Amino acid sequence: MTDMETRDIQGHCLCGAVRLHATQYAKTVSACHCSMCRRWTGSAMWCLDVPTEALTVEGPVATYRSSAFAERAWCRDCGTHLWIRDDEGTEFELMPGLFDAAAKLRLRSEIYIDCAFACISLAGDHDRRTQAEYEKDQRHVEDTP
Amino acid sequence: MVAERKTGSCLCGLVRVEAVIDASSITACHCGQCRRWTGGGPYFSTGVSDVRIDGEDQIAIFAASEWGERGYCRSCGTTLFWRMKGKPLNNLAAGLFDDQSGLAVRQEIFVDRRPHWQSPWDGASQSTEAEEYAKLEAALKGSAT
Repeated sequence: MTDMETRDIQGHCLCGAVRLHATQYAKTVSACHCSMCRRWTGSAMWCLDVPTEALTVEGPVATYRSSAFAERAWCRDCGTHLWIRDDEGTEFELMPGLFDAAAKLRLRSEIYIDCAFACISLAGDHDRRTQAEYEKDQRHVEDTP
Repeated sequence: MVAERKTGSCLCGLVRVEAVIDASSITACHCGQCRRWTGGGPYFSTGVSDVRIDGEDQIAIFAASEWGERGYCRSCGTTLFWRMKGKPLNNLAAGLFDDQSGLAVRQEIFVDRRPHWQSPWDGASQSTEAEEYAKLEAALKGSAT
Protein backbone atom coordinates (compact mmCIF):
# COMPACT_ATOMS: atom_id res chain seq x y z
CA MET A 1 0.00 0.00 0.00
CA THR A 2 1.32 3.38 -0.98
CA ASP A 3 1.94 5.88 1.82
CA MET A 4 -0.82 8.48 1.91
CA GLU A 5 -0.87 12.13 2.93
CA THR A 6 -4.12 13.27 4.53
CA ARG A 7 -4.34 16.89 3.49
CA ASP A 8 -6.53 18.94 1.14
CA ILE A 9 -5.18 19.74 -2.30
CA GLN A 10 -6.89 21.58 -5.12
CA GLY A 11 -6.23 21.05 -8.79
CA HIS A 12 -7.54 22.21 -12.14
CA CYS A 13 -7.14 21.71 -15.86
CA LEU A 14 -5.55 24.23 -18.21
CA CYS A 15 -8.77 26.11 -19.03
CA GLY A 16 -10.07 25.90 -15.46
CA ALA A 17 -13.36 24.21 -16.38
CA VAL A 18 -12.50 21.00 -14.51
CA ARG A 19 -11.72 21.44 -10.82
CA LEU A 20 -10.56 18.69 -8.50
CA HIS A 21 -10.36 18.50 -4.76
CA ALA A 22 -8.68 15.65 -2.90
CA THR A 23 -8.57 15.13 0.84
CA GLN A 24 -5.97 12.38 0.67
CA TYR A 25 -3.26 11.55 -1.85
CA ALA A 26 -0.15 9.43 -2.30
CA LYS A 27 3.10 10.88 -0.98
CA THR A 28 4.89 9.82 -4.16
CA VAL A 29 4.31 9.72 -7.91
CA SER A 30 4.60 6.72 -10.24
CA ALA A 31 5.33 6.59 -13.97
CA CYS A 32 4.11 4.33 -16.77
CA HIS A 33 5.89 4.18 -20.12
CA CYS A 34 3.65 1.64 -21.90
CA SER A 35 2.84 2.42 -25.51
CA MET A 36 -0.76 3.40 -24.68
CA CYS A 37 0.22 5.88 -21.98
CA ARG A 38 3.01 7.26 -24.14
CA ARG A 39 0.69 7.79 -27.09
CA TRP A 40 -2.07 9.32 -24.98
CA THR A 41 -0.09 11.85 -22.99
CA GLY A 42 2.70 12.47 -25.49
CA SER A 43 5.05 11.98 -22.57
CA ALA A 44 5.50 9.48 -19.81
CA MET A 45 2.30 9.06 -17.84
CA TRP A 46 2.66 10.18 -14.25
CA CYS A 47 0.16 9.02 -11.66
CA LEU A 48 -0.84 10.35 -8.28
CA ASP A 49 -3.05 7.86 -6.44
CA VAL A 50 -6.13 9.28 -4.72
CA PRO A 51 -8.71 7.05 -3.01
CA THR A 52 -12.10 7.22 -4.75
CA GLU A 53 -13.88 8.52 -1.65
CA ALA A 54 -11.28 11.27 -1.18
CA LEU A 55 -11.88 12.91 -4.58
CA THR A 56 -14.44 15.48 -5.77
CA VAL A 57 -14.52 16.51 -9.43
CA GLU A 58 -16.56 19.22 -11.14
CA GLY A 59 -16.67 20.16 -14.79
CA PRO A 60 -16.83 18.76 -18.33
CA VAL A 61 -15.04 15.40 -18.04
CA ALA A 62 -14.81 13.26 -21.19
CA THR A 63 -13.79 9.62 -21.00
CA TYR A 64 -12.46 6.95 -23.32
CA ARG A 65 -12.39 3.23 -22.62
CA SER A 66 -8.86 2.35 -23.58
CA SER A 67 -9.18 -1.28 -22.49
CA ALA A 68 -11.79 -3.73 -21.27
CA PHE A 69 -11.04 -2.79 -17.67
CA ALA A 70 -10.05 0.86 -17.55
CA GLU A 71 -10.99 4.34 -18.71
CA ARG A 72 -9.01 7.49 -19.33
CA ALA A 73 -10.39 10.96 -18.70
CA TRP A 74 -9.60 14.45 -19.97
CA CYS A 75 -11.17 17.89 -19.98
CA ARG A 76 -13.54 18.10 -22.92
CA ASP A 77 -12.88 21.84 -23.34
CA CYS A 78 -9.06 22.00 -23.30
CA GLY A 79 -7.78 18.40 -23.56
CA THR A 80 -5.95 18.33 -20.23
CA HIS A 81 -5.35 14.77 -19.09
CA LEU A 82 -7.12 13.99 -15.81
CA TRP A 83 -6.85 10.33 -14.84
CA ILE A 84 -6.80 6.66 -15.67
CA ARG A 85 -9.06 4.46 -13.62
CA ASP A 86 -9.41 0.72 -13.28
CA ASP A 87 -13.09 -0.33 -13.14
CA GLU A 88 -12.43 -2.47 -10.10
CA GLY A 89 -9.94 -0.15 -8.49
CA THR A 90 -10.46 1.70 -5.23
CA GLU A 91 -8.59 4.76 -6.39
CA PHE A 92 -8.12 7.25 -9.19
CA GLU A 93 -4.69 7.51 -10.75
CA LEU A 94 -4.73 11.26 -11.24
CA MET A 95 -2.30 13.29 -13.29
CA PRO A 96 -0.05 15.09 -10.79
CA GLY A 97 0.33 18.02 -13.21
CA LEU A 98 -3.18 19.11 -12.22
CA PHE A 99 -2.02 19.99 -8.73
CA ASP A 100 0.55 22.73 -8.17
CA ALA A 101 1.29 21.26 -4.75
CA ALA A 102 2.30 17.93 -6.33
CA ALA A 103 5.34 19.41 -8.12
CA LYS A 104 7.46 18.74 -5.04
CA LEU A 105 6.62 15.05 -4.75
CA ARG A 106 9.25 12.41 -5.48
CA LEU A 107 9.16 9.47 -7.88
CA ARG A 108 8.24 6.09 -6.34
CA SER A 109 8.31 3.73 -9.32
CA GLU A 110 8.48 3.29 -13.08
CA ILE A 111 6.86 0.50 -15.08
CA TYR A 112 7.40 -0.56 -18.71
CA ILE A 113 10.88 0.93 -18.55
CA ASP A 114 11.86 -1.09 -21.62
CA CYS A 115 9.07 0.66 -23.59
CA ALA A 116 10.02 4.21 -22.62
CA PHE A 117 10.97 6.90 -25.05
CA ALA A 118 14.58 6.32 -25.97
CA CYS A 119 15.18 9.74 -24.57
CA ILE A 120 13.77 9.15 -21.10
CA SER A 121 16.05 8.44 -18.23
CA LEU A 122 14.90 9.16 -14.72
CA ALA A 123 17.59 9.34 -12.08
CA GLY A 124 17.21 7.86 -8.61
CA ASP A 125 17.02 4.52 -6.84
CA HIS A 126 13.23 4.07 -7.22
CA ASP A 127 11.62 0.76 -8.17
CA ARG A 128 11.86 -0.04 -11.91
CA ARG A 129 10.02 -2.80 -13.72
CA THR A 130 10.11 -3.96 -17.34
CA GLN A 131 7.01 -4.96 -19.31
CA ALA A 132 7.63 -8.66 -18.55
CA GLU A 133 8.20 -8.03 -14.85
CA TYR A 134 5.05 -5.94 -14.53
CA GLU A 135 2.77 -8.19 -16.59
CA LYS A 136 3.83 -11.29 -14.65
CA ASP A 137 1.43 -10.44 -11.81
CA GLN A 138 -0.65 -7.43 -12.97
CA ARG A 139 -3.69 -7.13 -15.20
CA HIS A 140 -2.65 -5.64 -18.53
CA VAL A 141 -3.58 -5.17 -22.16
CA GLU A 142 -2.21 -7.99 -24.32
CA ASP A 143 0.14 -7.38 -27.21
CA THR A 144 0.90 -3.73 -26.74
CA PRO A 145 4.15 -3.06 -28.55
CA MET B 1 20.60 13.88 -37.56
CA VAL B 2 18.56 12.04 -40.15
CA ALA B 3 15.17 13.26 -41.23
CA GLU B 4 12.79 10.42 -41.98
CA ARG B 5 9.13 9.94 -42.75
CA LYS B 6 7.14 8.39 -39.90
CA THR B 7 3.52 7.49 -39.32
CA GLY B 8 1.58 7.79 -36.11
CA SER B 9 -1.84 8.05 -34.54
CA CYS B 10 -3.77 8.96 -31.45
CA LEU B 11 -4.80 6.27 -28.97
CA CYS B 12 -8.22 5.58 -30.54
CA GLY B 13 -6.83 5.75 -34.07
CA LEU B 14 -9.24 8.36 -35.45
CA VAL B 15 -6.45 10.91 -35.97
CA ARG B 16 -3.59 9.62 -38.13
CA VAL B 17 -0.46 11.54 -38.96
CA GLU B 18 2.41 11.17 -41.37
CA ALA B 19 5.34 13.57 -41.38
CA VAL B 20 9.02 14.01 -41.98
CA ILE B 21 10.65 14.19 -38.58
CA ASP B 22 14.09 14.64 -37.23
CA ALA B 23 14.06 12.18 -34.34
CA SER B 24 16.98 13.81 -32.63
CA SER B 25 15.35 17.25 -32.57
CA ILE B 26 12.95 16.82 -29.66
CA THR B 27 12.30 19.74 -27.35
CA ALA B 28 11.11 18.81 -23.87
CA CYS B 29 8.97 21.65 -22.52
CA HIS B 30 8.23 21.90 -18.79
CA CYS B 31 6.29 25.17 -18.92
CA GLY B 32 3.35 25.43 -16.55
CA GLN B 33 0.88 24.97 -19.40
CA CYS B 34 2.54 21.89 -20.89
CA ARG B 35 2.92 20.34 -17.46
CA ARG B 36 -0.73 20.80 -16.62
CA TRP B 37 -2.02 19.87 -20.06
CA THR B 38 -0.11 16.59 -20.43
CA GLY B 39 -0.57 15.64 -16.80
CA GLY B 40 2.99 16.21 -15.67
CA GLY B 41 5.05 16.90 -18.74
CA PRO B 42 7.30 17.53 -20.34
CA TYR B 43 5.58 17.98 -23.68
CA PHE B 44 7.93 16.24 -26.11
CA SER B 45 7.73 18.43 -29.19
CA THR B 46 9.04 16.80 -32.34
CA GLY B 47 10.00 19.09 -35.20
CA VAL B 48 8.08 18.05 -38.34
CA SER B 49 7.62 19.09 -41.94
CA ASP B 50 5.45 17.92 -44.82
CA VAL B 51 2.67 16.88 -42.43
CA ARG B 52 -0.35 14.91 -43.57
CA ILE B 53 -3.26 14.44 -41.18
CA ASP B 54 -6.23 12.11 -41.57
CA GLY B 55 -9.19 12.69 -39.29
CA GLU B 56 -8.73 16.43 -38.98
CA ASP B 57 -12.42 16.80 -38.08
CA GLN B 58 -11.63 14.84 -34.89
CA ILE B 59 -9.13 17.46 -33.71
CA ALA B 60 -10.27 19.86 -31.00
CA ILE B 61 -8.32 23.10 -30.64
CA PHE B 62 -7.90 24.98 -27.38
CA ALA B 63 -6.58 28.55 -27.52
CA ALA B 64 -4.30 28.38 -24.51
CA SER B 65 -2.82 31.87 -24.84
CA GLU B 66 -2.92 34.90 -27.10
CA TRP B 67 -0.30 33.34 -29.33
CA GLY B 68 -0.57 29.58 -28.95
CA GLU B 69 -3.11 26.83 -29.43
CA ARG B 70 -3.18 23.18 -28.49
CA GLY B 71 -4.67 20.30 -30.44
CA TYR B 72 -6.06 17.06 -29.03
CA CYS B 73 -8.26 14.21 -30.20
CA ARG B 74 -11.86 14.87 -29.22
CA SER B 75 -12.62 11.17 -29.13
CA CYS B 76 -9.82 9.89 -26.87
CA GLY B 77 -8.10 13.03 -25.53
CA THR B 78 -4.66 12.23 -26.95
CA THR B 79 -2.19 15.13 -26.97
CA LEU B 80 -1.47 16.05 -30.61
CA PHE B 81 0.39 19.37 -30.93
CA TRP B 82 1.08 22.93 -29.84
CA ARG B 83 1.28 25.61 -32.52
CA MET B 84 1.64 29.34 -32.91
CA LYS B 85 -1.64 30.85 -34.04
CA GLY B 86 -1.70 31.52 -37.76
CA LYS B 87 1.56 29.60 -38.38
CA PRO B 88 1.95 26.25 -40.11
CA LEU B 89 2.03 23.18 -37.91
CA ASN B 90 5.72 22.50 -37.25
CA ASN B 91 5.64 20.04 -34.35
CA LEU B 92 3.79 16.95 -33.20
CA ALA B 93 3.76 15.13 -29.88
CA ALA B 94 6.53 12.51 -29.96
CA GLY B 95 4.20 9.92 -28.44
CA LEU B 96 2.11 9.73 -31.61
CA PHE B 97 4.74 7.99 -33.71
CA ASP B 98 4.51 4.22 -34.15
CA ASP B 99 8.26 3.86 -34.39
CA GLN B 100 9.84 5.42 -31.34
CA SER B 101 13.40 4.47 -32.21
CA GLY B 102 16.08 7.10 -32.21
CA LEU B 103 14.15 9.76 -30.33
CA ALA B 104 16.46 12.09 -28.45
CA VAL B 105 15.94 15.32 -26.58
CA ARG B 106 18.08 18.13 -27.94
CA GLN B 107 16.82 20.86 -25.68
CA GLU B 108 15.00 21.02 -22.40
CA ILE B 109 13.18 24.29 -21.78
CA PHE B 110 11.50 25.91 -18.75
CA VAL B 111 13.79 23.73 -16.61
CA ASP B 112 13.04 25.82 -13.51
CA ARG B 113 9.46 24.53 -13.76
CA ARG B 114 10.49 20.87 -13.89
CA PRO B 115 8.67 18.88 -11.17
CA HIS B 116 10.79 17.15 -8.53
CA TRP B 117 9.79 13.69 -9.68
CA GLN B 118 11.76 14.19 -12.89
CA SER B 119 15.48 14.59 -13.46
CA PRO B 120 17.41 16.66 -16.02
CA TRP B 121 17.97 15.23 -19.48
CA ASP B 122 21.60 14.34 -20.02
CA GLY B 123 23.10 15.84 -23.14
CA ALA B 124 20.30 18.33 -23.77
CA SER B 125 20.73 22.08 -23.64
CA GLN B 126 18.80 23.71 -20.82
CA SER B 127 17.03 27.05 -20.56
CA THR B 128 14.86 28.72 -17.96
CA GLU B 129 11.42 30.32 -18.11
CA ALA B 130 12.92 33.84 -18.21
CA GLU B 131 15.19 32.89 -21.12
CA GLU B 132 12.32 31.31 -23.06
CA TYR B 133 9.98 34.28 -22.52
CA ALA B 134 12.69 36.64 -23.78
CA LYS B 135 12.97 34.51 -26.96
CA LEU B 136 9.18 34.40 -27.34
CA GLU B 137 8.90 38.18 -27.00
CA ALA B 138 11.52 38.66 -29.67
CA ALA B 139 9.71 36.20 -31.97
CA LEU B 140 6.35 37.90 -31.44
CA LYS B 141 7.91 41.31 -32.08
CA GLY B 142 9.53 39.94 -35.22
CA SER B 143 6.28 38.55 -36.58
CA ALA B 144 4.47 41.86 -35.91
CA THR B 145 6.77 43.85 -38.16
